[in-house]
Amino acid sequence: MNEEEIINALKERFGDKIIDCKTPMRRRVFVEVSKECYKDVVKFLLQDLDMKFVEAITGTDVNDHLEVIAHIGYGISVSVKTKVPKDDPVIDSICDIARGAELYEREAHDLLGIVFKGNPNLKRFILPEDWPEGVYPLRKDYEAKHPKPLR
Amino acid sequence: MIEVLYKIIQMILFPGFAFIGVLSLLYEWIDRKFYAKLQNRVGPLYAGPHGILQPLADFIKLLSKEDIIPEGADKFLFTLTPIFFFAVNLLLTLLLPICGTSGVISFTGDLIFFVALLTITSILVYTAGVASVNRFATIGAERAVLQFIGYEIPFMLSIVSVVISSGSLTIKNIVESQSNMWYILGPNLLAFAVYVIAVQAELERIPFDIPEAEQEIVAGWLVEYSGKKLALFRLGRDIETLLLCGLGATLFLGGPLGPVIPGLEIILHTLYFTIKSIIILLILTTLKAIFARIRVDQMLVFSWKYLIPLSLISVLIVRVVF
Amino acid sequence: MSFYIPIGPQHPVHPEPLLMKFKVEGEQVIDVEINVSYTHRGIEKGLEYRDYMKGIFLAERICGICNAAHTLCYVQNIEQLLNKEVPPRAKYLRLIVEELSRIHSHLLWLGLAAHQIGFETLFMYVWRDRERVLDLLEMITGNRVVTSYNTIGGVRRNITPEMEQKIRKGLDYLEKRTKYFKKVVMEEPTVLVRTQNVGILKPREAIELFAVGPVLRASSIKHDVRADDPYAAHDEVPFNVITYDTCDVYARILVRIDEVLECINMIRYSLDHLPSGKYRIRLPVVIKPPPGESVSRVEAPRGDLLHYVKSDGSDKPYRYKVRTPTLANIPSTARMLTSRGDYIVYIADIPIIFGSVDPCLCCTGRVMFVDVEKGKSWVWTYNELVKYSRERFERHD
Repeated sequence: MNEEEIINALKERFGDKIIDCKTPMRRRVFVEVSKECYKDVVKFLLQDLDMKFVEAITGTDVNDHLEVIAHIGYGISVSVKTKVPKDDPVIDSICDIARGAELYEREAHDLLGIVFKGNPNLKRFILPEDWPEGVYPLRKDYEAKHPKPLR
Repeated sequence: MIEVLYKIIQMILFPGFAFIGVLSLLYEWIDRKFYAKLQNRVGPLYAGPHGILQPLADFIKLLSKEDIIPEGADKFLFTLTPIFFFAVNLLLTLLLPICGTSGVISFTGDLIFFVALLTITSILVYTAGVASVNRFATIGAERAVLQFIGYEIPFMLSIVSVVISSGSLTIKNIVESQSNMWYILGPNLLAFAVYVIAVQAELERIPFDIPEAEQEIVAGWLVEYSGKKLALFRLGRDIETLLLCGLGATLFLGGPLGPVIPGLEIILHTLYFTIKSIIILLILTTLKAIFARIRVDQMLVFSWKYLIPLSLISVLIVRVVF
Repeated sequence: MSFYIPIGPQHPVHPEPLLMKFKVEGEQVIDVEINVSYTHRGIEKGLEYRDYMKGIFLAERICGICNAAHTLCYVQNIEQLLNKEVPPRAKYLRLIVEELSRIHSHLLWLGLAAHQIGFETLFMYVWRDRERVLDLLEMITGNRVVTSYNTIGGVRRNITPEMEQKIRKGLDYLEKRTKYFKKVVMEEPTVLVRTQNVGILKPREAIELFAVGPVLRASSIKHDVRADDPYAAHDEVPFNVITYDTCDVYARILVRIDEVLECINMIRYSLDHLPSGKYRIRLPVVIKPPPGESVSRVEAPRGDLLHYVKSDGSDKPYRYKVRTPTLANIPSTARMLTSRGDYIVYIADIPIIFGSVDPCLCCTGRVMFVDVEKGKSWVWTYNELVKYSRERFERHD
């Protein structure tokens, strides 16, 4: 399957739920979808188009909303992006169709505060245990101070 | 009166405790240097000429370190185990025939006494692990007992072959009956091979250093010991090495026997004994360098499937021949 | 009767701190819980504060051993954003240094794996031969381990014909030694008995749990980024993707040794076909790529490495994400370390199973500045430190 075929298959299946899709370079496809059909798109890519592999789940803080991107595929890399409002950062988890993605979702939750509904094990993953609740380091309003040298 | 005084001097100086202490440190140096050369390294280099004083330096360093007893440990057993371990091994060296056909102490049936006290040292390893209340030590002690079930029987059966060949349970008679031909050059070769493998397991060296596996359980049953107690364990282990190599030399290679010049007997006998036990030590070091460590269940399978039948066959061969 | 054993955070088997809590019964392992948060350094946030050129040096230090792969992925990402192509000679030179550092990483791992099963002699021999690779890397790049060779627009140094001669001689020596180590691993009975049928990961589980790298290839799945998504000069240099189908630790050792032999052939091919010309295109020091996103993938020695960048037109990245192969292999590791049904895991197998995944934990936990003192600093006395550590230990149980 090449990039054009993937975009056509997505458009045929989901029609106007796809907000944007483009191929800026070889073997890369960037697709933006709405929050409700995020899980269906991922399922379609993993099972029907047989891409089988979720490489990573990225979270980003864009000024007034959060973005969740799932990178999928062995040869061609399809990045499925969706937007989540900051005051209600809840999105469906893909753990029941992609078992190995649990750790990626835990990491995004720890660092950005995105809640994945349906993740069986959403606890602290990468920050120390005594890190205060509600402080999300990777958000833009968190200023990382340079540590002072111990005398 | 003079007899008793003479015996006490023999026991303390030569060939007793002081001589054994020096010799066991020398054996540790030989082991470490040869092992390093087999691995393309240098080994001990700086303490003394060619690093010969390194084991002594390690011992003195350990004596000066802090001695911590963990809070939940059984203080009585924890403190006594290293002392007993060291003392039993040191006592047994008095039975080795170093400068003559009999050791400092010799009586009828002293081979059984020897083997029985060796069993006590193995049980002390288990006690040491259990007395320091620590998960890793418990696992190490557990593995030590499992390994004990594996090697003890082949060890005893290989000694039984020698006993049948010589017809006596006294070390002095065994040495004297080898004055024509050493036992290893006869039907006891198989027993010698089994003896060497069983000794490697008893001394907890690779491929059988399972109770003390550094990568898995961080020093196993020794993990909570430090300072003087660890120094006593280490020295006790060195003396045990000397003991078992010496026993092998006595039973299979003819002990201190060899061509003598009258007048220089004591020196020559000691020299022969030392050289023969060093040969066995070098065999053990080579075994240490060429294998990986096996798991405890695999060790038990190996010992019950191969070692014990081999040792039984060697007993049968010896019974038929003699 | 079962109890918990903690392996870590400080333990002789770990090159880096991590905590694995095992539930054991006798000598069998029943359950495992892995905690990797000890080597947090805040690199993703740190990259947002540095412009693109300075970011190369931070990206390099994500991992000491895979540093060639990290820098390669980073500069490829930026070049994709800028839509610039590097000259062909630079692609081949990047491949040579990347494959040399893969040989280095695999030989280092082979020594560590031998050490973990207690085979000290093989460990010493392999690390002696690894010095040869470090000599070659030092000759080409000036450093032994952290090579600092890739830059945005090409590579930083050229190689001369004298260097090519020395590289070929070094490769001949390494090939001879690697074939000898392969013979040792395949014929030594104590190694075979410790590594066969240990740490089994079935192919279906490997796909489901998203394993990457040699772990995936030892379960007979044929996937390699160099073949599926070629970068640098990998579409022109031929090679085989190595798979084995016994799915255990033994297969992983053989996959890595065979990959070393493949790397040696690839370097020889690229030295034979090295194009001439420039090895670097000059770009301004302060780079301002147009707004956009880019994803770049590289086959690091441990597996599949992914970098994602989002730029907003300024000279610093808006968001930079790194997903390292060891993080992807953690669910598979936890699967391999639990006993179920007929498949039993012993405590003695833990180091070699964990080591066969080739963990590089400084790559794994790399996402936030550890805000050490929140603005003030103080010094603890020894007693306070002891009291704190005792409290933490009691809370863990």
